[in-house]
Amino acid sequence: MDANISEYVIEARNLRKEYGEVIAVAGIDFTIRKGELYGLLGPNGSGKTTIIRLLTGQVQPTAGSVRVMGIDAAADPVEARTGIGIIPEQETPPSFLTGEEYLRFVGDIRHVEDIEAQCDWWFSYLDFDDARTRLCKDLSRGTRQKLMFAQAFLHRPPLALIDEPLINLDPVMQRKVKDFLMDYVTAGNTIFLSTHILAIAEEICTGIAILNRGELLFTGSPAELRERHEDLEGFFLNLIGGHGE
Amino acid sequence: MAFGALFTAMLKEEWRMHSTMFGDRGFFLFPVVLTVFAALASLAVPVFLAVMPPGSVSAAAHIFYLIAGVSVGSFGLLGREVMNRRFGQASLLAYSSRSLPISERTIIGVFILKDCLYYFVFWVVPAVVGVVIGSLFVAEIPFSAAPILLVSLGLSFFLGIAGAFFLSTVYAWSPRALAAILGFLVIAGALFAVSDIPLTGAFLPLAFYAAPALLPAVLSLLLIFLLAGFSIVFVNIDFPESSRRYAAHLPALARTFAMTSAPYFVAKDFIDLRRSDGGMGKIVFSFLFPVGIIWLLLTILQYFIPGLPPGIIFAILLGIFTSTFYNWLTEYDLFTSYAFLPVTVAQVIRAKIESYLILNLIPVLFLLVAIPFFGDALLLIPALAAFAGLSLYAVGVTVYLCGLTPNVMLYDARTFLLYLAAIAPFVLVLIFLSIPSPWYAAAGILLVPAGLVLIQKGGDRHTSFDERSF
Repeated sequence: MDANISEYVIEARNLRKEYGEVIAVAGIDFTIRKGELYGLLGPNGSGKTTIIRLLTGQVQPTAGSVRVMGIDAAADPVEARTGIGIIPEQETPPSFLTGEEYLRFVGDIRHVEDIEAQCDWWFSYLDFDDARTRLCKDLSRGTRQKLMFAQAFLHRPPLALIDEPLINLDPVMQRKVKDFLMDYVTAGNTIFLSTHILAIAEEICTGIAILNRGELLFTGSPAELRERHEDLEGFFLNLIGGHGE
Repeated sequence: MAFGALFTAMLKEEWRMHSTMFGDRGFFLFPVVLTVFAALASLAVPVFLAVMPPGSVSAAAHIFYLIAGVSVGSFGLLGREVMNRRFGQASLLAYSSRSLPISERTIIGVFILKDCLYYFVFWVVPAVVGVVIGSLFVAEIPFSAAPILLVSLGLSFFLGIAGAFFLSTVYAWSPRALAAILGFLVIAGALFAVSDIPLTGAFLPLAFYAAPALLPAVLSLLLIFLLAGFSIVFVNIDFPESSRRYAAHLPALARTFAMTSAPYFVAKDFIDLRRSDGGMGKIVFSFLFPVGIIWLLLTILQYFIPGLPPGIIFAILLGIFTSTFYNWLTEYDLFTSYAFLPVTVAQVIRAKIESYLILNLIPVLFLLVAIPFFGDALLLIPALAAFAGLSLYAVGVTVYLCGLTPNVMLYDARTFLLYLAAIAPFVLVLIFLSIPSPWYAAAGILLVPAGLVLIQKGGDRHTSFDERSF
């Protein structure tokens, strides 16, 4: 281990995940420092969601190790998930709770003390007060996504792992969410963002990693690419080349 | 898209949906198990015929397949919701009219046809094969009954499917019209029950079975076509959206369940039950059907084993049926809904079990009324002990084998057989123990620790959660 381990909020060492004969993550190494807005980019099926699941202890690695906020996510997944916020890619809130009830439900699990004030703030900030009293199953996809976004940040975690957070949001709300994410890291927090929308990463990320078929092809920053006079899209397409799916 | 191509694609989709949920072998074994059960049930036909009025066995079989058809039709209509819970945002061919140049009428027509053919092969044919096997050993079942049964059970089944689609279509246009039709059916059923008209006079597929002739078969088919045709012609995918709003009841309800380990989870379970279709009434209603079966079994058992204490047997069987409450409790969410929060499968299971224990008050109330009715009110003590032991043990077996997905896992033939093998011996032992003295059934309380151990181990076992997804 590095001597400066404490400055990393995420550390993955030789991280590997196999599903039978399929190699989803092929033994990768990466570290993320506090205060970064780190983007994990890759084509569909490249292994992005599996990495988020590994980092949050939702699946066990086949080999290697992963530490999140200093906690071994494989050995103690619940403890690892306690201090972080997560937006999973596909999950939707429970069908028969209202929007407010869902946030209170998550607030209870995460021991959020000022839950009423937090609910008020999020419904107002994301402009979806209408969802407070409606059942989650009756909400539009975009509204459900707002709810999932709010639950991830309800307890103001120092680290959030978010999978395609802008999906189904209208342009106004996308702008608002991007601003929120940038302000959030400016305040000293860290965000690990998985997306296949390159423009988002280029606009807001301080560091990026490009993944294809479970292998890390590049780690660096959009600024480095700009210095090399390369735009992210061209660089990404060159890197993925004929391997993209 | 050609009609044939859509039909083939839907058949494949149905197969893959099931094989994904249960595994190829698991789902393929299901009809085999059905055949074995039908064969065993056929062997018991002489017993049924000795204690039940003539025609009751065949009537029960046809009604069962009518209900099975209704449930298949209902699942077809609710499939997307169920699949979304299972797989996330699922997309089925049935919804392809939104993206492909196929009319909704074509899709619903092909869908009904697919349901009929697919489930006829997987549900009806295996049962008839079982009856054929049974007929080799039971003189009361003539071999020649098999082809007639294939047609009559098939017609009952198709009638159920078509009926479900018909009612759904009516609902899509007017929930009030549906309520009126259901009200009419209930009144007609009640009038029929007090009348002298035999069931064969009202239930066409059964009429065909009782007296095979062209007329009841043709009339059955006409009714099926009429109901299915109505659904096709008046198809309406714009279901009335729920616009109901609710105040935040969850915190108050959680305070009510403050004595549990996870009040918000328990409160959520009761909110799910109350706000989902049918409300809490569906629990009570779904409970009445097994209670009816218990009465039937008691009638048969008492005839052959006169020394059986009916109240105790009632309590034992009630304990088993009560464990199905757990299936209701796990119907509305999957662990993936919690996997990104700091909770484990074991914690969620524990909360579900606490909800389950609260729901056990319903069968306990049944027992409090039933035991004095059977004669000796003092027998309430061994009856409650036997009930508590079996209820907790049976749910423990369910948790151990199926975790949070009993509604999926119990369709796996191997799991279902393990479930039966784990529970049946204790049921039989308690029944036989109660013959010399009903008080011996109190030994059932010893199953409580076994149930608790199974719940604990089941939680640990299913906590190691690893889903294939990337």
